[in-house]
Amino acid sequence: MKLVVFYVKSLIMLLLVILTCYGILRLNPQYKTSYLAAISKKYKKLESVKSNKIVIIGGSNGAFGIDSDLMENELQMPVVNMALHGDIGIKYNLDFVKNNLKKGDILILTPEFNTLTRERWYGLKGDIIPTVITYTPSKLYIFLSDYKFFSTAINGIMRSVKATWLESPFPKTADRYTVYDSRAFESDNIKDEFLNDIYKKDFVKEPVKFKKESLALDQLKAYEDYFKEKGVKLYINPPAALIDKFVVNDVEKFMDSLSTYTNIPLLGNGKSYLYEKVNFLNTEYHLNNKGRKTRTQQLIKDIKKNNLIPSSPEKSMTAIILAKDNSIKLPLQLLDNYSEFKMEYDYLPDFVIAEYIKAKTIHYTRTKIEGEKYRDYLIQIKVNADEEIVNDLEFKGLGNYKFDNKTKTPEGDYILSKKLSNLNIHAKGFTFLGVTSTKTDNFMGKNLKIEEMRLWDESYNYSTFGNIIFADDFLVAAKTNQIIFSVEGQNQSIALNRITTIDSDQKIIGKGRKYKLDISNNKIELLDFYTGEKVLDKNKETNFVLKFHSTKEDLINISY
Amino acid sequence: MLFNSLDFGIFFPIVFILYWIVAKNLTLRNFLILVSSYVFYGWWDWRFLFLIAISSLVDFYIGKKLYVTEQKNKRKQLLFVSLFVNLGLLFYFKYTNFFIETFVDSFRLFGSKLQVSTLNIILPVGISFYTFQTLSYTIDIYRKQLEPTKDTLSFFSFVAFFPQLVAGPIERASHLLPQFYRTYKFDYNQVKSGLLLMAFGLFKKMVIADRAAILVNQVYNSPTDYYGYETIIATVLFAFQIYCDFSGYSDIAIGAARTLGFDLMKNFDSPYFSKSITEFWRRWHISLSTWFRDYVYIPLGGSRNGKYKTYANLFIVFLVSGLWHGAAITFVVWGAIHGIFIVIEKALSGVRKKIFPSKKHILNYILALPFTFFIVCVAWVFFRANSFSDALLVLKNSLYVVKHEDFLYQLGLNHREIKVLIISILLLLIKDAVDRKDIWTEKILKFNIIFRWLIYLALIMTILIYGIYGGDEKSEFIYFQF
Repeated sequence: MKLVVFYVKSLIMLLLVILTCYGILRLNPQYKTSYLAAISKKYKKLESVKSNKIVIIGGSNGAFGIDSDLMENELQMPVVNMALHGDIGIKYNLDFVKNNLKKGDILILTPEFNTLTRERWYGLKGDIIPTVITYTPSKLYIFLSDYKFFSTAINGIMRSVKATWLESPFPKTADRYTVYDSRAFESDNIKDEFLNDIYKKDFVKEPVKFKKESLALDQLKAYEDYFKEKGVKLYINPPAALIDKFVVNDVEKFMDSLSTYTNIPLLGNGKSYLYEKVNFLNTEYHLNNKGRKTRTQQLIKDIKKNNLIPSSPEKSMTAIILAKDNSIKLPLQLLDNYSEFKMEYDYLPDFVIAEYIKAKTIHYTRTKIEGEKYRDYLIQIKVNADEEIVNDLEFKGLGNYKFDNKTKTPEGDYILSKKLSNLNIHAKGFTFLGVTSTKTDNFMGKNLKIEEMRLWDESYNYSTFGNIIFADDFLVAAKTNQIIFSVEGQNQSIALNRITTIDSDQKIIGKGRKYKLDISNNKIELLDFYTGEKVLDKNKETNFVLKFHSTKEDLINISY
Repeated sequence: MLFNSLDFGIFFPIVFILYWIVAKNLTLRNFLILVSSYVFYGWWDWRFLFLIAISSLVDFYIGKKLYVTEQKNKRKQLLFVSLFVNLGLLFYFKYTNFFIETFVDSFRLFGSKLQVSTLNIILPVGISFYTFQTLSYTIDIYRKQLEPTKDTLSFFSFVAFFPQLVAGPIERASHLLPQFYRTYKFDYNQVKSGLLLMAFGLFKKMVIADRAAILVNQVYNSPTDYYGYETIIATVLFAFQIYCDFSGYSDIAIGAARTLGFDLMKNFDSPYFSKSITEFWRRWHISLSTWFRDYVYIPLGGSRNGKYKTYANLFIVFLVSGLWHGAAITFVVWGAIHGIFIVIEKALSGVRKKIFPSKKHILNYILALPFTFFIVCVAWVFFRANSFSDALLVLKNSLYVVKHEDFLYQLGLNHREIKVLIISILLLLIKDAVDRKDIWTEKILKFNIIFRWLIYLALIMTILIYGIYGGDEKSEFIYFQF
């Protein structure tokens, strides 16, 4: 009996100790807003995504250097940036997300060079653990799955309790804070305003050695096997790192060897992710705004290059080719020299810069496109020239063809339209898009300006450029399963089928969430981007107004 | 397995629960002790378990043989085998490289460039402790002061008993072994007192010793950079570091054994309140000093052959004690300093009695106590220094007077850390001064439950918050290396 009483009392004492520790952590407002507490925001997003997604894990190079919003806008697929802190440990990162991943998901690991050692595999100090216990208790099981994890966890808890108590047992929340604060995060990304500085420190080059025996390669390989079985594609993406500090060859060798020994394919090469100091914020791994944009675009490019995103079953892709400098007007005689078509979105792999034709007698310019998927597309070319010149222009593909339609816009430009189905696609899978002048000699001294070329999906109920409305803000009023657009602004445009951040006082729309306007099959639907669910409740007669924030860049994909 | 590790935090409650389930069945209980002790030791390096097993096996059979053998020569041969095996293991693992290096260095003195490489030998944790413990068993049987045990399980458990296996107290078979023949009833107060003692041991180790170690290591690992107060403070703090480190271990060992119903001998008795080096050794590492007294000093002749032989015997004992602590010249010098002062005190004991007529004479506290502490600290310089030349440098640098602001806070500990350290040491000294009988645990157990529980909680939270742990390197106990 005495023994039982002793055990009961011991348990009560243990509980008191745990409660005291928990109280020290929870009562401290600074703990609540710690950098690591950002995991709760990231996890909230991860949990909310029900469709296939891209999940990024790794150290702070990922947290500071990847903009999931930009990726989502470009890839049209939910992206969750779970990368936070190198000391958390790669194993923990993998375990944390593994149950949230399903077949068809893509997992991108972007580890700093020193985080893959056996020593750091489980995390260095377990500092994240108290945050996990507080904000993501459902992940606690991870620490009970492995004794070393468990000991790191306890160590981390106690370190945090100590640090919290010793630094200041009863602090107030600071109104001003730095990037190392969970309030600096908007969902899974660091807010732009915290990434404005430029790193100034000078560095000495540091070797990056691939020491097979000291790295946790077997462990990583085991995860590769696990994810393969689960149908999740795992990739390694080189960390964004400062070129002043690391040797390019070292980095490339390290990343290549890592991929070879773990069988995990590499997304991009090490060199592409080494940047100049002007791109960095405060450490050799922390990018600033400029660097983050560059790195994210590089990652998008590598994702597209590797065809990671499954192609949409609907042919809704529309591409825009813009003249590099549309202020240039060229004499028609020099049209064959006009090779200045340039992709505004140069990471679209299907396009190449227009070829340069030297033959003097052929006055045309054209852009080569690869791939047969544009066979039934509509080509629209926006030009600016005198009407007689425009009337003379013919479509230049693999041969010369008449345009189907030539329309003048209110601004005085002309839209030349032609359906590609009439054209031959070359046996090698490419074709050309361009214009040619048949009576060049009649237009001596006159100019032609090619402003844009657009490719439209056949399913698109296309009209002229005039219907594409550019606007900073526009309003959508919705009434029971209907959305009525009321557009504000002089230069109006609606970007459709785009993920859009929507602000609304209505509870129906979550603040900061993303939605997709799907206008297809003669219906208009507002969908939650992450869950794919319809946002409007059919059963409620609700009138509300949504304010959309859009940008011109959204026009990259237009379809309805 | 370290006492100040999570491993032990999980291991001990499991052993404790299982122990009290099987406590009434002696065989099962001792089997549990043996298995858990081997797990405890094997956690560090299972390969060295066989050394403990060999040492136990040899001494168990030699003990039995010695008891039934009457022939003097045969008995001597048997004792020799025990000494050979135990000291052989100790010599091989601990002293081989030391003697190779000393041998090579001596040749260098005469201009010879002898090239002999040292061996790559790992020192098994606690080998100096358990070999001495098993040796005492065979020597006591040889002296016919002890009857050998017939119970193999009890003997193996006695040798490997996990609370005191790796750093003592070095128990005598006559005291500890019989405890393995008895079963114990769960004694609530005894368990609580044991747990309190364990907590206090952890406080000493984690709050004081490991905190002091930060400053001490900084100074002693680059002795050329520190002068005057810096080296003096580092040395004084080392005195407290090693005291708290070692006595902390002993407290945890005694406490852990107590929770299981076992009684281990007291190993420290407020040593820094000693008023002579002789008294210091009656209060410091008591189990070792009594071991040397019984198994080295007395066999050498003790004080039976005149005062000069006594002086020589005392000096030899301390030289050997120094060597026992570590296979390096610094430890030998440390032992020699203590030996010299013990001899001086012995020689001047008459004069001393005239100056300090009674033990409680005020001059004892004003002069003898600080002087003793000073000598102990000077000796600690050799004990802690990484080499003999470093020790001399620390002593030399201590003589410089260098004044610069905030020097104390530039030695690895900030204001808060220093404050925590000083307050903790003061608390320890107050406890040592007023509680020589070590009855503080009993006193606490008499408080009302709320006050008592507040003390428990405060002690645990103090260790958790102010303890040093969780760093990149594990904080081992200093005496593990001996």
